[in-house]
Amino acid sequence: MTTPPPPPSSPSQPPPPPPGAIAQPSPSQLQPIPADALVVVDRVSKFFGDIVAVSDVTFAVSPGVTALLGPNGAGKSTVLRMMCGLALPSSGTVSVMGQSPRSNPEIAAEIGLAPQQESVFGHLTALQFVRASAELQGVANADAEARRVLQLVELDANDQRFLPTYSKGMRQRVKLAQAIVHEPRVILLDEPLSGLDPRQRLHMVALFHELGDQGRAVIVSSHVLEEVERFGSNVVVITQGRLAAQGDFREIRALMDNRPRRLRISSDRPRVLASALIGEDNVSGVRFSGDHIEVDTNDVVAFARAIAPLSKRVEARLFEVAPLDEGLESVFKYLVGR
Amino acid sequence: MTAVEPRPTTISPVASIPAFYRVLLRGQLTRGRLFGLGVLAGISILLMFVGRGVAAFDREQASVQLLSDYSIALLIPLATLILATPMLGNLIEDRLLVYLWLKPVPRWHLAVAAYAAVVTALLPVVVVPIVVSAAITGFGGLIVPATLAAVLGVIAYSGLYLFLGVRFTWGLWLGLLYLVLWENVLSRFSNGMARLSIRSYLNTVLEQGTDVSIPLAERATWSSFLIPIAVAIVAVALTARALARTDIE
Repeated sequence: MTTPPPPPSSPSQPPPPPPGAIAQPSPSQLQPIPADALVVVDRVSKFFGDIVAVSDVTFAVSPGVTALLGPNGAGKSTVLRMMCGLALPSSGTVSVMGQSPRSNPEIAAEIGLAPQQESVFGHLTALQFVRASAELQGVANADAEARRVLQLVELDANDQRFLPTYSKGMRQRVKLAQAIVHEPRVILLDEPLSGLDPRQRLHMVALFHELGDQGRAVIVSSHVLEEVERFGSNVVVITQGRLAAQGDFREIRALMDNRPRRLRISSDRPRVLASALIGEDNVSGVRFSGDHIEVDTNDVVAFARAIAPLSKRVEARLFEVAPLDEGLESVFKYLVGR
Repeated sequence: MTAVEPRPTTISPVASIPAFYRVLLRGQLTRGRLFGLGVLAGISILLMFVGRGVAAFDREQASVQLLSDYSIALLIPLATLILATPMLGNLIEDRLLVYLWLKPVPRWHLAVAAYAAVVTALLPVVVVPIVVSAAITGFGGLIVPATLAAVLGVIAYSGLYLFLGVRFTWGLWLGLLYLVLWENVLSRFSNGMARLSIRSYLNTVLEQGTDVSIPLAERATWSSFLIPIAVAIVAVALTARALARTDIE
């Protein structure tokens, strides 16, 4: 079910443990923690000087594919970095399999990360890179495992070219290969589909699901709503550093679809049409903007059904009906302000 | 919270350090850096030929002074600065350190491997030219102390500059400032300040086996061997600590 973000901590609650401490979230702080949760982010904030990158975020991740959705700069990468111990929370705790991931070799062995940055080692081939990762994770047969995962992501292990000569899509797949070569139980993928062609995207999404079905927690960040739709049902929405929504994708999608919208309408008789629109049930506001009408509606689907017959009734020709606030930012703003 | 326990994972330094080392060493030997180091080494050898032209009664004095003023004072620290500071510093800047950091090993494995990679790369490009330079002088007694001073210099400066590269964004410039201001200016003012200069210990080693006196090379023999090694150990420990504490991009 879709759960709203938890309320901010009240003064009567005990202070959070110091950053980096082994996380022991109390059940009352999270609503609710799934019994099989592999990752728990508990009232986590991260500041960079005066800038609040992440503010009081709480959620838990169970095995399967979970999408971390939010616009660029929302704080997704910072959350991912804290989830794998690369950054310490300024307050709150992150726990992976019940332990702090920060400088914890046991937990590092259970985490695979494909970071967002495109930079790669300039002097390594794909096989050398993935094999080095396997060796440093203590994989028994590093070479064979590196070859296996490269094949899994549809790359040629015998390719002698250095990584910087690879296309963005190929580099994405190499990063994924090094993240999964040691078979971690928590896999964090930061915008892994960017740069991939549609066929590769389908293949990667299928691979994410396969990994999730094996009992791993696969956390995939994205700023593309349509992309997230393919990942599965669990979604964590973050915007402006805050948790906007968490839960089943279909419910969040419904929330997004049913939110109030603003539409721009062009017509040869805008004043007549505007007068007629004011009387409609699903219209909450009408205003003129130059030659256009701007309409606020609470039910865009009902409005879409009604607008054509209405304009015909008042003998106004419709030239254009276009949404004005379809950008993800406006969707996320709505979710935050809900 | 979860019934799943992490798998016990222990990766010995014998496995992890060579793996880190291979990745790091390959990345350091770029054409630009090798060219820069080659130029520095070439100047060292060229200067010794110049020293041979000096009048016979001054030749030993001139040769030792050239080794001290160029090879010890500039070649070793500058070459080390060029290789050691970016060893991990560039990985942080390029946001590549994440691939080595997020591994189930203590941070000191990475620090030691990086240090070993720096020293490995430097020994041929610094020590060999200095040995050749000492041989060119024609004073056989200079070869061993010059070689020891070069090795000890690489050991000490590598640790120091490796740490600066990890700890500070401007590590290269801080290292250059230290080299120019402290090692080559301030430490010449007094014996007390020279005690905090690596160069002073290297000069003491160089002075052994020659009849030439080098200014401010007045350290005890034992300390001129132990202090550079101690500097390296402390610096590598501080590098490991900095790696453990820093936020990784």
